[in-house]
Amino acid sequence: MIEFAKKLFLSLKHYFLLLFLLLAASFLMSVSEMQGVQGVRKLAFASYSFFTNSLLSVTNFFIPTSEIESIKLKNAELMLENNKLRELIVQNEELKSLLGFKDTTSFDLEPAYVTSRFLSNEQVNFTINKGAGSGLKIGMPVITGKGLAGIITEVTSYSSNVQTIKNYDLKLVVRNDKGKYSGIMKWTNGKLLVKNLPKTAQIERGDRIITSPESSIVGFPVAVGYVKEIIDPEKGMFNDIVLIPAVDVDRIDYVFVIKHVYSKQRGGFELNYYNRNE
Amino acid sequence: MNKYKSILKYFLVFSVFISLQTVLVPLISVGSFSPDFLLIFVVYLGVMRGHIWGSTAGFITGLLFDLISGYLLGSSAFSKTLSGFVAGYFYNEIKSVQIIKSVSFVLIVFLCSLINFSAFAVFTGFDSVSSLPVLLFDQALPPAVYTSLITLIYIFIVPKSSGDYIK
Repeated sequence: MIEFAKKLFLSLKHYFLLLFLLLAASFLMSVSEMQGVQGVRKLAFASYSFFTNSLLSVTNFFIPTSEIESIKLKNAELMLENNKLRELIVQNEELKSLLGFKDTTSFDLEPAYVTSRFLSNEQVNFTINKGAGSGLKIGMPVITGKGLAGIITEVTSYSSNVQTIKNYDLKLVVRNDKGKYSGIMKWTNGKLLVKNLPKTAQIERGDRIITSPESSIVGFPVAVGYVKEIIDPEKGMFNDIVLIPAVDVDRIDYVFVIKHVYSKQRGGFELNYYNRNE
Repeated sequence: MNKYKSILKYFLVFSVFISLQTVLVPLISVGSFSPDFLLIFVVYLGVMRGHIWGSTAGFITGLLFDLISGYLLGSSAFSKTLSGFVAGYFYNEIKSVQIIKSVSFVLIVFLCSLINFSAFAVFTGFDSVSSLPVLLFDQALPPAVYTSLITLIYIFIVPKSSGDYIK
């Protein structure tokens, strides 16, 4: 009997191994947000970052980057200022609510460059060459001169991992910059969508979509994209729209980190979960 | 001793492939679609060594990618384990090297890519409003075709003598 069981096990060992590995992967998915697992993840990320940063420091030795960085920095600052000026031209009623906004032009920007990108099934994450050593924290928005690129989700001493707007896990409350119609922006099936906009929302092709003050992650205005099309406007109770992303995260090399983790509280409870993790 | 030598070789090859995946792939991506060099490595191992090596390599490779990329931990490990295991069905002690050199390898990579990207799409991109066939057609087919095309290029540039293969 034992001999038979042994033979059976040996003949099916690859199936047992497959089952074990698939169960292990499923288990990892279920515990991926746990603190201990995050620690392992951070360690792996730190090792990888050390390797890529060392490699890049050698290759970048001959390339003068300071001038490019200063021009790009100026561009990003102007973008933030521009966002604010755009806000100022909307009608009185909205202007009153805008007075409560934080002055985004006063935010401290940290220039960084993309050291590596992770593309997988139409999703993009990337790492940058700045980390906790430069004062960066989880939850800080990453921008370019054109708009929002993503949010920092992992930080080591000398690098950070950025979850871009092309990631299924990043969802932001956004609105059009002309009106007050908010919806939820998320990357779905290779498209940047804004869902749950009311049918009454006056949205037109080409409209600029910015982050909404209702967002608990980025509550100050930063461009995320432009309206490309409205999906089935005659159907359902809400409108879904497709955006052209303001930032092409597949191609950018230089970014800026807004050194500010947005905080939004209700009843003493922090709504920005990136801030909660801190 | 030989086994450890092979593992060391595979680790070095893996390092090259992960570098390709993070440095070269962003430059050659078409729209949002990109090839998966790590998957080619996993399928290669599956065809050359069988189910156990294929699925184990798939798990380790996927897990390392998940750890450094920030995607859902275990999602790539799951999909690549499945792909590596399926690649193992094409293992043949005598013909493996010939398979690697032929167009059959491209077809195997295509099949395994479909499985890999479909599984990954289901775990990371599936929500209540997505239809499964559309999800698979939109997210699995294009990168699978792209990865196969990259493999086709590999077929033309690989060494022709069987002694050059790592096994």
